[in-house]
Amino acid sequence: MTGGALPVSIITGYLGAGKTTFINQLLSNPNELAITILVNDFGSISIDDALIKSQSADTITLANGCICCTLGSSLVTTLCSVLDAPRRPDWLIIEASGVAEPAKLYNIAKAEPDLSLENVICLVDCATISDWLSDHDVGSVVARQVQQSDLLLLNKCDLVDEVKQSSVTALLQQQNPKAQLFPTVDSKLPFEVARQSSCLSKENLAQAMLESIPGQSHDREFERWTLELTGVIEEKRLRKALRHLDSCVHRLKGLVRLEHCNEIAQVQYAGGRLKITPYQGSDSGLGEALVAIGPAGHDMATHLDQRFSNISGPER
Amino acid sequence: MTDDARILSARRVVTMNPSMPFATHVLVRDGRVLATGSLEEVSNWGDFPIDDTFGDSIFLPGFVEGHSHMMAGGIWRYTYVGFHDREDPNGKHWRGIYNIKDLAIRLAESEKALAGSDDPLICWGFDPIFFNEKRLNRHDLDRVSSTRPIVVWHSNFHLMTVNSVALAMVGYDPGTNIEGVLLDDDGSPNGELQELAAMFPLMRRLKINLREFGNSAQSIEAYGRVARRCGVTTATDLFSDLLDEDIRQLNEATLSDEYPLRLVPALSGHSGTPDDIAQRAKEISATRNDKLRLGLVKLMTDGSIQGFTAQLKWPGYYRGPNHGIWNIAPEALFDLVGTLNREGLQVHVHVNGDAASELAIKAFKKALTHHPRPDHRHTLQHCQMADRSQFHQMAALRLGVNLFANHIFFFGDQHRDITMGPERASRMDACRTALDEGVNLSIHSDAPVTPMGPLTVAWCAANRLTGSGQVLGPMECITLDEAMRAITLGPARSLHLDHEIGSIESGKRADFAILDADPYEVGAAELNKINVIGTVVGGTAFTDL
Repeated sequence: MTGGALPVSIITGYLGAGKTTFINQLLSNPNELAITILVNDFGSISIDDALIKSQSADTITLANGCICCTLGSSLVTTLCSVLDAPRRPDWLIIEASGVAEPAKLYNIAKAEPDLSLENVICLVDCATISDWLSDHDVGSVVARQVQQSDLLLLNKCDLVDEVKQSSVTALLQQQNPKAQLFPTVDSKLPFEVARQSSCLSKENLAQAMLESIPGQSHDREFERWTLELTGVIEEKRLRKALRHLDSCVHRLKGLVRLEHCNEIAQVQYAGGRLKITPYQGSDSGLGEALVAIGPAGHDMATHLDQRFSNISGPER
Repeated sequence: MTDDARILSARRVVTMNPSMPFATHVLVRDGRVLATGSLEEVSNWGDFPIDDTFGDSIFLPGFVEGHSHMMAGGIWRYTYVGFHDREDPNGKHWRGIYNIKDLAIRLAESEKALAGSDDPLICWGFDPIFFNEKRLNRHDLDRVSSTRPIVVWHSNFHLMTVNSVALAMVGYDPGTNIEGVLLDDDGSPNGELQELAAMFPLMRRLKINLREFGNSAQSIEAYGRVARRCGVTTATDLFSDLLDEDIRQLNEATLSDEYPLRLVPALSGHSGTPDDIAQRAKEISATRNDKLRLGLVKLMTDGSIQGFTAQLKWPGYYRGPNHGIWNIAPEALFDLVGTLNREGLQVHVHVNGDAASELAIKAFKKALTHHPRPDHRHTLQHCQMADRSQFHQMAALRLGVNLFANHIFFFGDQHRDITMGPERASRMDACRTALDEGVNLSIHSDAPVTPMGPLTVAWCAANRLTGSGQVLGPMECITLDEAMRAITLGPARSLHLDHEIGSIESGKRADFAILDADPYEVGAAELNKINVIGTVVGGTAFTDL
């Protein structure tokens, strides 16, 4: 993990899905965290000032939009001021605009070394989501919001019957098979879950699991892949094998012996970043091997086997 | 108070006022036009001193730029590396950059001006779409410097190419797999960073502050010089946060007799609820002086056509991906337009693609049906793909339009070959159709996207020549006179200022563009070759260019 980086959660969802209520719910839970909320949207309801005061949270409103029209300046300046403040908050929550693609925001958290992306939570209005997904004007952006999230909060379940709820569930699973689904009403999600979905979020869960290899408890949800290495590996070919990995690979790590120096190096891959660094520790007992973890059912092993089929033989 | 009245003589005064279309003399008093006509005619008002300083020049009404941004001034703190020649606010002529070799020479020159060996070198306007060679990468820039970060910002501000020092600052290395950080064949970042996420860490570390371009006193001052150089005496800043501090600064700058520009900034309608925006717009309109008017609200819908982010109706883009975006949810647009219209405010809406203009027209139709308002002057900005049916609806709703005529020259070839295809590209920025349908027409530069220069915009609208010299959609050409109106009275009306500016006539403000040639003698084909000598704003001449 990026030690000291500011944890970021992105809250997405179309207008009326319950994003603001969700944030108010979060803040109404007693907690010790200094939270900063960036609001990149506007609506008729605003974040409850009383809650903010009681929680020592801080809200900053942004003008949304694209950088070419000086709109992006608001986000840039605000993020800089949060990051460069003498005391950073414990948790940064960005409420995305109802028509924003979460990827545009979470890519900032991925790119900026001082930010660490915790999770993307998408709120979905159970009663209207299927209409929005097929809407002529906004259908494609609503679909991307669902697809780019870790956690789908199936909100306003009280407004629909069971048949409708299960058809919506199926629709969402089809849009995003990797996300976790939480049915709820009034945007309610226990604070620990929202906060800890940082821990629940698969990448981190995967990491936790890797730390405790061999682990058994999540085998049905996650798939693990292991490659024992006997000879030396050329660094260039290792990098090539790990370039543009499929997103089903949540985390990969291990030790390898590099050809050019004949020394052991540590390989770390998470959040789209690969790091190959000289191994400092004593004998790990792990031997030279790579392990990876990702959600079950996505053929991660096949993907990685293909990538590594040729790692130590003659280059094809 | 002493009478400051004086008679300004010119080779010809083109007034744009049908009751006295041409004159040789203008009598100016208290910053306003008292009379136009021959020396004899104006002298009938009394015995006033005659100022012959511009006796060999041509006066036109001061041009009105109805869609540009203050950033057009502030951005010049960085080095210009665009494809088209440009003049900076100080009048220095910057030659266009036609290839990577030109770029390296320009960078090496700029580097000399930097003090420390690790000061960043930042440039803007880079336009490789016009280049016929390999794409710029970090190695090209490393040859310029291996000690200081170098940032080459592309013209659309969505991409930048940086050198290895800059990459190292943000930790982009061969292990990086972040969307927008482009990689070489060997897996190391090649220096090109696409979109805000990938650029953000570098902007943060180099303290590139976009907001400052559009708000600092320095930017306001530079914007005034940019305008003065091209004969503009009134300009918008069409999308601004307009915080109290900004307004204080704008008021202070425009109250000065030395400031050569009337400003009509538009409040961003994207930073609060509709009621908040309406209240704020009314609140700030209380600050006003002869050269500052506030209260206009600007909304953004889609992105840009050349960026493939405009919202298009079927069949969409000709070649290339559809990355259409909304900057505001369609429902929210209806809410905002409804509230602002009901509250008596004026709304200008950015629409590039025809799906965006369709949506905005629907929003205005609903708002004006629920709450009819005479003379609202709501205006669609850019509106590049609207067809006759949409112009008809605009006319029926009394919406104005400000078309992005400069696109024909600056991007017309790309629109014909890549974004729209020949048929739809031919009817882009349909000035003729707008006028035929009876829509109030303005044309604009959207500076800094294209250089501010109303004579060039007018030339584009009248001739429709692309960068490669081909006519794109001759049926949409407008006449010289129509084009001149679209850079004077047209935008003046769109800003609710046509009773004050836009023509040289008795009672209006004494705002003139001083030219070295008469557009009506030169003709439409050569409009862009006319030189601007300076301006007169409120009777004060600004010519020390």
